[in-house]
Amino acid sequence: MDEVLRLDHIVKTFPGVLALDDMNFDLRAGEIHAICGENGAGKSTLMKIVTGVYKPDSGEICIDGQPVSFESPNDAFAKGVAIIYQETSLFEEMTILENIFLGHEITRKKLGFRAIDYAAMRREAQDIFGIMNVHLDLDERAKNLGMAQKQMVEIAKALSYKSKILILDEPTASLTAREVDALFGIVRSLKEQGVAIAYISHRLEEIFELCDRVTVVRDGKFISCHAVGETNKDMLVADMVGRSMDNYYPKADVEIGGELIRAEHLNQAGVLRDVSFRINKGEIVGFAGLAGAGRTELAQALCGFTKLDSGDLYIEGNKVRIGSYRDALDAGFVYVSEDRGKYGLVVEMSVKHNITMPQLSKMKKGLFLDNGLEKRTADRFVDELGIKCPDCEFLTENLSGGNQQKVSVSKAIAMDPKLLILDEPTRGVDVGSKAEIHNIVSGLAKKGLTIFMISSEMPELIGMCDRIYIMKNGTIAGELPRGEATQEKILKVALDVA
Amino acid sequence: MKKPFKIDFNIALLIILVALIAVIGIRNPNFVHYNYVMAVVVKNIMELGMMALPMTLIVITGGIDLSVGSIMIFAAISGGLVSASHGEAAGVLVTIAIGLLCGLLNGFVVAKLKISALITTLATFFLFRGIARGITAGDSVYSYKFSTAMGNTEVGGAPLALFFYIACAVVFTLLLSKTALGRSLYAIGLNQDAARYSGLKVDSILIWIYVLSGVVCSLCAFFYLGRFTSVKYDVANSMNLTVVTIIVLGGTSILGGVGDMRGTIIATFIIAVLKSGLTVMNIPIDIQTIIQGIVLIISLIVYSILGERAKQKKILEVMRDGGPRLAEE
Repeated sequence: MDEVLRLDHIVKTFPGVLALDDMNFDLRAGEIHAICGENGAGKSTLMKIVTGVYKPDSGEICIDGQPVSFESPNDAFAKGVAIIYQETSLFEEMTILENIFLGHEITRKKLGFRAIDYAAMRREAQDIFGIMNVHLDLDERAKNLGMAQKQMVEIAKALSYKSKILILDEPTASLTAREVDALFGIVRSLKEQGVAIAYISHRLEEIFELCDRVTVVRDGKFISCHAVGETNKDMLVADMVGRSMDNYYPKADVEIGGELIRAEHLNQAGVLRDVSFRINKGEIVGFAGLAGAGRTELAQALCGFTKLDSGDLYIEGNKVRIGSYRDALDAGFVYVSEDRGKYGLVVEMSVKHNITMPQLSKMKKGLFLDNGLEKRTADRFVDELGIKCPDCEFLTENLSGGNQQKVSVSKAIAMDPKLLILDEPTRGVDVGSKAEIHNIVSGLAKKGLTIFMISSEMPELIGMCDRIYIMKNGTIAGELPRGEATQEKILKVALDVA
Repeated sequence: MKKPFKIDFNIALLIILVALIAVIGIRNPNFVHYNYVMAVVVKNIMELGMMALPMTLIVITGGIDLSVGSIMIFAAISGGLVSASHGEAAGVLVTIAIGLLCGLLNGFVVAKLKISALITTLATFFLFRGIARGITAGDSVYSYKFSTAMGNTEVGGAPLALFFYIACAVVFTLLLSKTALGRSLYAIGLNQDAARYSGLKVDSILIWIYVLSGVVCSLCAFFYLGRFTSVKYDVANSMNLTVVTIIVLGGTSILGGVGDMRGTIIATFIIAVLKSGLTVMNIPIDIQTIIQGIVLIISLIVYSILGERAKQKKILEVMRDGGPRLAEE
């Protein structure tokens, strides 16, 4: 078979992070090639290199044997590389036909103007649907389509650009079993037409059902590439785990007290299913799982950002109802978001103003805010957590990611909470800051703070947590105590490999 | 937040104000006479100035209130009607109640139903006018004793409204710069999600400031009705836009998160001087409008240049201090 795409020794760094390290990947015409790896293993960065969103620092991209350099996503698109994301980007009010040809409408001269030639577009769209073997009304508006049909339109759109290389990023994540079958049918027809398909998925069974080869990536590195006939689920899992356990701060032993929180049968339509767990005083409890397993959604429901449909929550044995984040704060829960820029901080404000924001009512002298008290509070945390800034009046947006994260954590612990909920506390921070944040979390635990920690980095959870709950499809699929948890065991539960 | 260039901008505004007064004063010395200043320049701007104070709070949260003039007229008309039928006290109470309820409606729709403030208050702008027309059948409504006193009393040659304005200006300046509420408003304007995730009661804060705006409109209703002795439903139609002009001229970003009360206060007087000063100079009304437009555009350009320069300075600082920020994946 002809090799249509080849990536050789690709290196991509972001300040402080080596995202791709000597990455290799190749794709042949008429094959379906799976890429798998944990969250954060480098799959997305790899795809962004292939589609021209990022430029590699070094290494070579070849298409049809010719070295190419993509200056922009349009460049990659023009060379026949198209990507279908999990979230589709169709214009809801336009018809299928208009969406497919948006930006490259077929036109013809009419009375001296260039008019859109709907008849020609219709003919071509029907040809494409013929290749894909789907039947959709071209005049239907995108808003009336289901998720799976929208994906089909996206694929048709990609084909209308004569794309030879199609990347599918978790295409089945939000599809039903029947829709998945239909999608697989389309993917197979395209394969027969000689389209090269890169297929990213967490669902290992799909890989064995659909794909020809599978490449595993981990820590931005190429780990292995096998024909699916020569490998099995256990081998893939073994390749996916094995991140280095260095640089993690083991949790100091502290007295584990009585029950702090007990959740029973929490349900939220389409998001959480019968979630029950308990957390004892002084514990660090980890929540592992793949992206979309419902971990963040659980934390947000606990904190009153979203409403639960049913289920009970007990704090120290007393049943509580949390209707808003203010209620959660009053109950002693505080949430540190995974998305600092969007939810965690007002980056245009100073470090001081961010740290005191959740407790402005305590920062008053008479009617007015007490600047001295605010400054002392902020300075204390700048000092304790080692936030690197000239002073606490410094604007948060000018800090590095790691230091912004420390501000976000300071803001939470300044509330003196009973339960600290950390959502991906080390995402997007460099290695040095990561170690510092682990150190801070350990220090807090040593002082007896109870911590609910969501992380996609298994070594982080294994290194720091007393117990780990593993979530899958909105429910708790397993629980592992400290000592028994290994990356392999966690991943097997998260991927549902028996 | 308090950014270094904000102070420069307020000084620039102050220079513009002084220059305008100087130029007009030289052409026509009567303009700077105390009695003229109080009776014309100041008196004519009081309602607009007072409305601009709470609206600055609203604009800082990223909102806007286009219904202010309508609330004032609606409140004035309702108060006038009720005082004629049920007595002075009832009229005063109704005036205040109308402003409060109108503000509450605006705030509720914006905060709870999450409909854009621009659309909401544009709709209520027409709604309140429409009701005002309906209840008067298009007739004029006349002032009553309390309102007349509010509108025409002078203390040491200065209109009573000026003292109310000064009191409001002080209160609102402190409110915005010194209190927890003021800080929350900036946070909401800069990043409403993060404000929510900090446990700020965003919805009730928003409702509260629209109510505040409505109540200030009620206060203005007394002065306005008193000053003109009678009002009809269709007067003061462009008041909302003048108030927005004042706020934008004062350096408050229409996108929210940036601005302060001092800018609004200085800008109030720039508009006051322009309005009456150009009349004094016998400049025709159409040219006056053009000049107002030009002043606003120039101030926006100056503001964006100053802002851009501050941003560049900040980037240089960052590059010097700690290297570029970490890229997020």
